[in-house]
Amino acid sequence: MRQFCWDLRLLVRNRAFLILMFIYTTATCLAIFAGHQRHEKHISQNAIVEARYQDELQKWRGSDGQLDPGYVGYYQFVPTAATPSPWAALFSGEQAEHNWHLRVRLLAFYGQAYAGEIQHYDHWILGHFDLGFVWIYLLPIVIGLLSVNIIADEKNSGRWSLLRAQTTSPGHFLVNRLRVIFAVLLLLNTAMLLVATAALRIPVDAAWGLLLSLLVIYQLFWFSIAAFIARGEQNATFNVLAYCCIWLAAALALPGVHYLSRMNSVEMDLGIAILMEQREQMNDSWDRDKNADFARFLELNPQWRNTGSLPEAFHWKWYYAMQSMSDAAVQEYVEQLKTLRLDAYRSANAWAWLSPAMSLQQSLTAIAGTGGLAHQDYLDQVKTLHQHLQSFFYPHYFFDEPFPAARLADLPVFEFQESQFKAREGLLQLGFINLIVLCLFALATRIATARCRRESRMLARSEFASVPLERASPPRRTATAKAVE
Amino acid sequence: MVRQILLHELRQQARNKIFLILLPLTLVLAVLIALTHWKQQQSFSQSQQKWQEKNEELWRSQPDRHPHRVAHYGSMVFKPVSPLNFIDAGVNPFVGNALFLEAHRQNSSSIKQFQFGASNLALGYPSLATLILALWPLVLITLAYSTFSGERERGTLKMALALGVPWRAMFFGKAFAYSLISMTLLVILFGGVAFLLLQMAASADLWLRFGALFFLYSIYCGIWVAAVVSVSAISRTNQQSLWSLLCAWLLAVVLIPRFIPTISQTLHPLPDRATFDVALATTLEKLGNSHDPDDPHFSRFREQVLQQYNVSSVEKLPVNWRGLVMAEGERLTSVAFHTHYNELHRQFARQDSLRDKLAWLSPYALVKLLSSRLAGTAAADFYEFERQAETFRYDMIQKLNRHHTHDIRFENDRQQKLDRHALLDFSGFEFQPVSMANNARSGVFVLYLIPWLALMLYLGSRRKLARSVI
Repeated sequence: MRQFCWDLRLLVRNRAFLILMFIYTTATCLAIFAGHQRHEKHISQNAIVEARYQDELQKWRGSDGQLDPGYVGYYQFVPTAATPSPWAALFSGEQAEHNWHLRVRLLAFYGQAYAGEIQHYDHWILGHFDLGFVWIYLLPIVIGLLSVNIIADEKNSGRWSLLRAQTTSPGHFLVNRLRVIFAVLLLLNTAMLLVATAALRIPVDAAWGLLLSLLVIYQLFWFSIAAFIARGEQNATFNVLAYCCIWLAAALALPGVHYLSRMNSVEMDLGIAILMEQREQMNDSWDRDKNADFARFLELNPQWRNTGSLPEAFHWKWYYAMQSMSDAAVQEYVEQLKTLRLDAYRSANAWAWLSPAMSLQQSLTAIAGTGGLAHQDYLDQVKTLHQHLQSFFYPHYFFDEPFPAARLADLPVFEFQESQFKAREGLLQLGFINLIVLCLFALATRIATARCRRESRMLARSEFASVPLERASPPRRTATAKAVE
Repeated sequence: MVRQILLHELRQQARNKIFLILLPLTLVLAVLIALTHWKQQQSFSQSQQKWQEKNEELWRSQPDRHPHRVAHYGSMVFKPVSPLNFIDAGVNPFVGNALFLEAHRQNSSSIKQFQFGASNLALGYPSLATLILALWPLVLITLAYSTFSGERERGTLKMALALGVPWRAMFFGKAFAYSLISMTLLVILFGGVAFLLLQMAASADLWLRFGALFFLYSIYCGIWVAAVVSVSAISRTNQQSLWSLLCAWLLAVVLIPRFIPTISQTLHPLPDRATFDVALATTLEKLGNSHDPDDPHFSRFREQVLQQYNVSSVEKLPVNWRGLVMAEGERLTSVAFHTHYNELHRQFARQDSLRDKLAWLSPYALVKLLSSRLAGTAAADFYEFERQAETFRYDMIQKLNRHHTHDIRFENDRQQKLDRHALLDFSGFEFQPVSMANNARSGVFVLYLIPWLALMLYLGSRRKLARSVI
């Protein structure tokens, strides 16, 4: 404990440490503040859309007598929103990339599901910033700058020989110093997490514990890397460059190579195919034999086959049947698009075994529900709502059931079910990567110790050989050999 | 003297193992990234061309249809990818490139070039621009951080100055040496780019953009060279130099550029799509509802039309009343849309204004923004596509509404059809990219770079530094 306090005092006296901590804390505070504002904005926007929806329902209810269910189905949007988890304020993931707040009506679902989100695209050029970014990308740099040259700095200042003679082993000396930096950073990160927890009213539950565990193990990984490099006892420049290379490989190169390996035009082709095929299906149906198309719909949807025959004049049941048929026509493309997205997730997950930065990123977006997989899950939930809307309205078109204004009280509403994704896999990945690094560290230490022993033996032998014969026996251990051992 | 120092520095680098590994590695990486993007760009353009042709073919092969049916059948428009996209993709990976245009609605699109997955690429999108603007400074730091501080540590700096080598000659000699290394990289890379551009019929505007990009990247590399050599000149030890430069890189390339949009988004928040649509619907309701027979606006409109044609009822009009209502409804939709769309862009402008004020803090942010403008891949190019597509949509729908008004009779309106040959008169959409002249305003960013360059050169070339060594 005394040693810990001494090392802590030494660290706090370091001006570079204080500057780094200031930058790091400022960045963390900005990330939490901006995340909080973003979260509040999402909640207020959801409330605006919900208020408008209630106003619209009120207007329909204000109408006298029966309503035309065809018009209600055509004009009435039902709001859906992937209610943002407070974690989403801290780990925005792919939140800006997709539309998480859709309004859907009874028309063809896939014509509504892929609406783009409003954003100022220039911001993408400069990059997005959240607490996830601070922890995943900034924290390793801070760790590296503070830790990787612990031994090299002592060598530069000329204190190393003295320190080495005083300590049991260089590894022990290194661990003593690193544990202080580890504790300070962990304390700072935990404090910031507590601030965010209080500001965003995040429940302290299993997810919170999991997040802290991920953070500890991620920190441990970068400390292990720093220790591994520092233990090599190379010069300061080599250490910093080696550490930067590993950081760049984990944070930039591996995600970049993964991205380049998946670059193709398939998604665009599928997206356009969905739009065009659906448009053809819907519009051509006006010029085709309406009865034949309608019969095909009833064949695919037997629950409505007891409906009366199609009148000559326009009828809503034909109109919505054709909307539904246009969804069915593109279902195959939609499935392919979904498979493509799931494949992208799976492949990123496989690459995460190589890159701790990717692994932590995926775990954080899984906890916050802001990844591509969560968005797909949200779309599936909206699709289910759309099916409920069909079940709600169709009896009024197919069986001519009356549609009093009071019926709107039963209009299906969207209830977002937060998905539970496997964030624990990240723990496994990070644990595995850590284990490898720690094994390497242990191996490097063992090799270094063996080399020292070998060198000291050789030194002893050479001293033994150089002394006169009468003083050669018995062999003595030199002070240097003792210090090295 | 400057020349001798320059040659000395280059000879030293030629013996430096790190240089011999890093320069070819950077070049190989750059070529791989550029070729992957070029290949993807070609495949994307071909794919887009295929869909464009299919869209036109489908439009031409429509049967006789009611004009309002044609208006809902609509058309697809595509934003052609800029030929310089493979250097700097800008916003292209994040925006929808295909838009479905139809009556009454301004659709949005989320059909992107390819699956993006931004969360894993938070540090940077792999492109030639990222390599030159974000990674090359790191390589420069690695190569040159010890150019002065190393000599100071070894004591050779004092000796050289004692022998009468002027400090400024030494500073500029070293700076020119690293500028030459940077220029070698840029010339090789841009030579490759020029070769690829020659494979296509590149316009004068494109070559102008290409030249401007080369100039911009050269200035940027110049700033980093000056910064690295100056910091090395100021630093007492190698480690201090490396530490300071890495911190500067972290701030200039990683942190400040991300702080800028975060601050501007927090201070000037944008509505999301659903909120925007709700506001649009509310405005439209106030302007007039064409489906409500008692709507005050359309009642007034009916009176005006009856007065204009001097008839007592819509049935007696010489033109189709429903066509007029459609045209007026479309006009109102467009007015409402533009009201909110312009407000949205005013909010963008507020964000941009704040961004421009903060961007001078980081040459990387300035150059990244300007680079995407020059490559024709900035947000402004996408918004221009949206604007042109909306103008095209409005003209197309109003032309169909005129057919509805004049070629379809009021009685039995829905049962009539427009001769398909009338649809052949409709011209296709052709996106006109923002020209270099229109981008000239953003060239003011270059002016922000000059103080950076001057400051860096001043810091390292001060004669006072020589005195501190001796």
